[in-house]
Amino acid sequence: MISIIRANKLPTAALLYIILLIITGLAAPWISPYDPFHTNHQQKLLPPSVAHPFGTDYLGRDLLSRVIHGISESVFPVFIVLSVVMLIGLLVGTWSAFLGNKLDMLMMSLTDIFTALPSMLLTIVVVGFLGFGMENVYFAVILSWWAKYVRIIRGLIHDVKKEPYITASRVSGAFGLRIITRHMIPNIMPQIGTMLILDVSKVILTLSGLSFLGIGAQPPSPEWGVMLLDGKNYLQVAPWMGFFPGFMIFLTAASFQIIGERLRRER
Amino acid sequence: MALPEERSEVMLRSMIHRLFMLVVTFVLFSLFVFTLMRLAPGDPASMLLLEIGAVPEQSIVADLQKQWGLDQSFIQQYLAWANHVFQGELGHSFSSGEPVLSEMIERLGSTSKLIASSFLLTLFISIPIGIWMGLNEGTMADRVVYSMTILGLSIPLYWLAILLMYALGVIWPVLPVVGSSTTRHYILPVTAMTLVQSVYFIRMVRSYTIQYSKFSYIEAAKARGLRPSIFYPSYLLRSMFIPILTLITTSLPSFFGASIITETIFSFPGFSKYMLEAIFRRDFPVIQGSALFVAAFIFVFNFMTDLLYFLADPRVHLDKQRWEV
Repeated sequence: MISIIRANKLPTAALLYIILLIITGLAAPWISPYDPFHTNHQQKLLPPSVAHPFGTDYLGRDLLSRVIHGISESVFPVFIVLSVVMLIGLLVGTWSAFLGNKLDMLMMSLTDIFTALPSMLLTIVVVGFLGFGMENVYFAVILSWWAKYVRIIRGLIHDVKKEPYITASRVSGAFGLRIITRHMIPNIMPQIGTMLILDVSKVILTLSGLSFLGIGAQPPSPEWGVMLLDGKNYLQVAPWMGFFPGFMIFLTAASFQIIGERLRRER
Repeated sequence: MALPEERSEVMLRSMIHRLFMLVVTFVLFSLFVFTLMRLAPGDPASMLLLEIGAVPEQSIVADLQKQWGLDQSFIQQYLAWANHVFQGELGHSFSSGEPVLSEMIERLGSTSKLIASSFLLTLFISIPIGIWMGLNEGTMADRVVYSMTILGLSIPLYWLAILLMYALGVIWPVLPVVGSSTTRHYILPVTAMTLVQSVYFIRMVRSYTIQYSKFSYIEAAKARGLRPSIFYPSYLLRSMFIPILTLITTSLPSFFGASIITETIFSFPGFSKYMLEAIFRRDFPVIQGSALFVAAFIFVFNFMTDLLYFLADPRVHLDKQRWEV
């Protein structure tokens, strides 16, 4: 155990950070020093100090408290979005791998279209027509990510299909769905898991980016992208307003990236 | 080995197939856009009436719906709409009243300059660095740069742009941070985009180099002691042409996404910002027109690179999957 940690100092640190982040996010109402929405005009635009470690914003709100409350708005939705994407990928990807040639090709052409299009374009079209609101943003992000998972899972299932242990289980009397759920999916899970962890950092950047553009979460939400947008507008007088939320996005994305990268080397 | 005339026949047939797929893809995408438009909350007839300040009475709404063909079936409506759109009639902007097409063309120049220059700069930076890293795989220098790229992948473009803006626009104000009127205005946006995109390119080129250096003809060329001036361009780069072409094609969408963020941060009056702002004004003709334009551009670009694949590698056939990593 200790030798594993010693050989993986950075991934261990990243994992500890993520665990700490999730706990902090869940416990935000109890541990954040101030109310994240409480405005105080006597204390606006204060630089970082002991009382306000991250400083305060243009309404006098404590930035540390906002960053802490922002965890559940910036990081947790990513897990939901990626779970849906993975579920679609598993269902459609496995299904596609067992389809006949023609239908399979049709499915792949469909995924071709979605992978070729910029996710930003899909998001703009969906949010532009269906209106603002987080559910539309999630829908748009899922729409631009599902195709990648369907393609990759279909490929993995295709490879696994030829493995001797699948033939063996078939010979020993297992059938269709049982082979898929008990033998195929568990065997491709390590690859999918690594991909998911690497994609967490990309989806964090995407979702916060959309909020930064004003499409995703809306003020006064303490979502990190929203806070960063405020920070951009006060860059000259209060640079800390833009620094901390951006740094948190970077740190969180980097931690998932480091862990994912380490897992990928394992394979 | 196929005979020359056979080869050209295969080429022609798969060209036609690709062209057919191009049209199908675009029609599917337009159907998607049209469906979303129909799903949009609010009925267009009553919305227009509310906009001009009239009371949306039932009879007037019904009249308008009949006039616009909204009482017809979905497919009929789509065909009528597609008929206009495919002839380039994208309608007029709700907010300015100008034709969408001319508004778009007006703004394309600065955005294409922004994307093209960061695209080229990214290639110039990342191909040499990636190849150098790949050839020195596992050395201290490679490991250090590689770990830096892991962090680099996680830097949000919008944060990097703000940091650059703060460093070179506020602390040490040497560069303009708003607008696109002079070449100097392009420096910060292009730098931000290039830095973020290069990280990804460097990693990809590095992995191609590692993969390709293991091929026997590359190793043989190295063993023969070819001069670097011959080895790099005519052996290594030439064999890596197809994967790099794929990389270029597949990363075009991300450059488009990056341009939206960059143009917003630097108040750059380009096409991407125009498109983004349309959704705040709920300017449907603009959203629809620019989405179809971007999609068409990307599909045609992909088609053109498919043509390049044929020229680069005659083995590429219709049934062959595209080169993927």
